[in-house]
Amino acid sequence: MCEVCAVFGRGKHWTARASGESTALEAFDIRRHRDERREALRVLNAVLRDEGVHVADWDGESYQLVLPTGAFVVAADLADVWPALKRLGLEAPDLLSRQFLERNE
Amino acid sequence: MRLRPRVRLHVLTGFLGSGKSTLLRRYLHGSANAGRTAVLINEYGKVAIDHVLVSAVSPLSQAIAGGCACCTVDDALRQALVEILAAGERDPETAVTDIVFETSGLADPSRIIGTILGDRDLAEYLEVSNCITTVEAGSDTDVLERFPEARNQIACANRIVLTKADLSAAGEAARTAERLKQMNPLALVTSSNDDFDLAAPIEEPRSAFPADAVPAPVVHSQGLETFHVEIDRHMMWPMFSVWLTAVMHRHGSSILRFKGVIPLGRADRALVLQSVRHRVSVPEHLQWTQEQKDPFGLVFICEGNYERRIRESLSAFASLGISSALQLHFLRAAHKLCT
Repeated sequence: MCEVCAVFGRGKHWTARASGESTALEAFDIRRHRDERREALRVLNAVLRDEGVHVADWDGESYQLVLPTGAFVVAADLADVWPALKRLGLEAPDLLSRQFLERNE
Repeated sequence: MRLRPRVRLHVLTGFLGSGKSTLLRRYLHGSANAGRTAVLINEYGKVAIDHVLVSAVSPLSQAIAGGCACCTVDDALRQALVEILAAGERDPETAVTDIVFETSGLADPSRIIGTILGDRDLAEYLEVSNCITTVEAGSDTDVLERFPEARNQIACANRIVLTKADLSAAGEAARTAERLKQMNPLALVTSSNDDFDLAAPIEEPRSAFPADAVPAPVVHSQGLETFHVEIDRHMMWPMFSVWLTAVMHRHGSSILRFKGVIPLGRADRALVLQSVRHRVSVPEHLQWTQEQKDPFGLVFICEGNYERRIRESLSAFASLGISSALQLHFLRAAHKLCT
């Protein structure tokens, strides 16, 4: 979020810097960025559907991982989602594993 | 007796992801002599990515892909050098004065230099002016310990450029510089933040390039696998970034490097993405035309057997589909382009 104007922008992490006309400007093309974030959340929840955890948006830049018990942690950015699973006592799925491939065939 | 000076060859080397291409692009942007500098880029993978990036600033660039010039493609290198020199002989007005040869990240530059200087035809027209090695600040404790290629590159340099000092912890760049001076006291160690003319001769050139140099046998690290994976143009950034972060979390220590061009959902732009071990750079936008034949894809350099698993995983991931909201954005973007 832009601290001066309180407009939610995009984070500084490399995963948040791809879309839009510019990889540098904070709030440019923000609608597309938001849609892309929603899409990333949809994909994250599809990947994590068997782990019993739900991922939601947090502050437009971070991610909130919530267990059915109500316990939650906040991941600073997309790359932090996977280590954050460990903080909830879960293991990050291995997307290169046979198990993952068979589940998504 | 030669009536014209020999063309100066500058070998630009450095380990995977140490910043060779960035330094080269900076030089080509800023140098008054860039128009008379030919660029040859050797890439370990079958598909040349760096060439796509450098050709945007240097029309005189050529790619030598599909192996390392120090062991498998030295004929292609020789042929490329001969063609550049022959063109200069035919038309002295447009002849190049300098050639920059960017090696692959795994190359042994001493072998390349030995090959060139050992070739009587080439040695008549070329002089090896510099061997410049890029080293990432802080990488000495990991890369230099693990990879003999990186140590060879430092040993061969007459100039070492310390890169990414701004990304390293305080004092780390100075410590790395000190270690490099110990490893190669003959080389000039500078920072990529300093004013830098890649082609400038060094006042006291290292006498490490004797014409009778005998190339040492090449020993690349065992178990390294290089492959190119095409990325479907429908694999958009949100989906791809989820896949990539998950894979890098589990396998980042074995995926030494990746680099490539991936789709952005627009006909006129693509994204350049690269990593060095766990560190992924902020993606760069690249002007992209539909006429370009190069498919979207990434070149990976991994320790272990990853090619099949990455291909299958990406393919399985694509089955997760794409949301209608994002499809709408792509339709709007396409409409904007057509009107």
